[in-house]
Amino acid sequence: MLSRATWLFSREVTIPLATSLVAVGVWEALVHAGFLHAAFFPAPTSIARTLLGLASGTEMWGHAATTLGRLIASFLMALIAGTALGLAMGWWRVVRMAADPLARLLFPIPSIAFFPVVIFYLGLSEWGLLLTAAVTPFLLITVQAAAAVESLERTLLEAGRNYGATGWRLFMRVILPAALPRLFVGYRLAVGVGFIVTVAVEMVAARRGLGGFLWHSWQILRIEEMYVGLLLIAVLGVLVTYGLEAVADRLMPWKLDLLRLKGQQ
Amino acid sequence: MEQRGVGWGAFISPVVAALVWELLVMAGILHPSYLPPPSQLGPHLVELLAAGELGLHLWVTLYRLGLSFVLAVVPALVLGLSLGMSRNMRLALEPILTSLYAIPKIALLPLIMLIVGVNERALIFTSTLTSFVQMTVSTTGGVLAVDRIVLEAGKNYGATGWRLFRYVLLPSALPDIFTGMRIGLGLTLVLVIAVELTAAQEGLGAFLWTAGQTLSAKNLFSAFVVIGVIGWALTYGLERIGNWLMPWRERSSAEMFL
Repeated sequence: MLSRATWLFSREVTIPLATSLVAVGVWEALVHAGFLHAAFFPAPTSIARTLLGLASGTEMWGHAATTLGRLIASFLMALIAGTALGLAMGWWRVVRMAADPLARLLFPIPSIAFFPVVIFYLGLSEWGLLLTAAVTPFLLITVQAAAAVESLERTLLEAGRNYGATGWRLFMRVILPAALPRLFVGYRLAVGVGFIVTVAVEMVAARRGLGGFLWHSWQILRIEEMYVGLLLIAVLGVLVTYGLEAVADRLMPWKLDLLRLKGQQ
Repeated sequence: MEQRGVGWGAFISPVVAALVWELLVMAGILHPSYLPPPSQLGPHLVELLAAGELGLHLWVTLYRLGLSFVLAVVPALVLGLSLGMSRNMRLALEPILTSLYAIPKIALLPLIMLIVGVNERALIFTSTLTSFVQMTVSTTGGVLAVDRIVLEAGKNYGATGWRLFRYVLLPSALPDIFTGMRIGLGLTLVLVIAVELTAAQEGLGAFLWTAGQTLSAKNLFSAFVVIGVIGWALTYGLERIGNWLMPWRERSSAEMFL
């Protein structure tokens, strides 16, 4: 185990930090020297000033909260429906035969293409936006959940049964914990896809939310605000992409053992 | 993991779904101008394709997709392989690649339009970036995931330099590189359609959007099906090709959905 001081001065920290600082520094210098046009590439310090200004108001936080809320709402819809259907598909052959081909048929369709179809029926409403963002994550979670149940070790099931677990207990104590790592793979991917679609739909059709904010500030050429919007989307993207992975490691310490057991990763 | 067979059973539920849809329209429960049944959609799609208009939009979208892939593939492979082999380079570029990877590339469109102007080049540039980032990250991951034991074995048999790269490293990393290309193309298709939805006059996305706005359900579904076919080709077609090209790779049916 490395001590904190050694870690701070290791290459893993110093090199990325150095390149980031140099990049920002060079950008700043180029603007001041007049090589980069400040109207297109405002200096990092002036973007930071805009960010601070916006952060003291409520508008920016409102947009961020809207996007986050949409992401969470659509993800929860996909999570609940997808997990339920996927587990049922893994467990009952009939359900799988009915739902699996349809899921495979719909899944490869680019998620954003559902948007015009959904709003054709629902109108340009909040529901239309949420449903569009939920479709592909739902299919992804469904397929992963079905695969998670199907790839369960038979030994694990037998052992559970031999210890007297049946029905609900077998499901909660054996099947779910064993399937959870695989389920989380689906969840992680689904959040990523959901985020892309949410931002895309907001840019196309919404006023509120970070995507709408970004598009609007570009249209009225408030360039600093555009950069702030981009920055916030990037921060949210990093949280969504790498945050859930950390959560998964925390919640399921047995995850690595199981995946290793199955020869994956 | 065993490959599940795609037998005739796979066709049962889509066919049943289509029949139910058809029957509901015939029984008058669903209105055909609201939800056109398959029996009307099929001929309409053929008609649209024969008239050439839909074909043109299809061609524009495929051209954008193909061009951005071609522009991205060589730089992404070179950078990805270098990053996989050099730890210092990886650390140096980590901040920028991590954030570029995590950000939905469509959010970069305004910035890119600011730099190159509101034109076709902005669209191509954004979609090239989408392909590039995904392929770079997957290639790097592929090199990093090469089994150390395989590398050691190669070295012990006297492979060094180019030979080690060509006969040991590359074949092991190739499945991940290929997956990166497939996912990259898929994400690029999403991006191209998204941009076309509002910011373009041509392309399947534009056609789809116009169809929705003019309340033409038949056009809407026709465009949707054509876009779907591209998506299927990218997912299932490329997967088949990959299995044929790289028989040594381990397959799992769920990985296809990554």
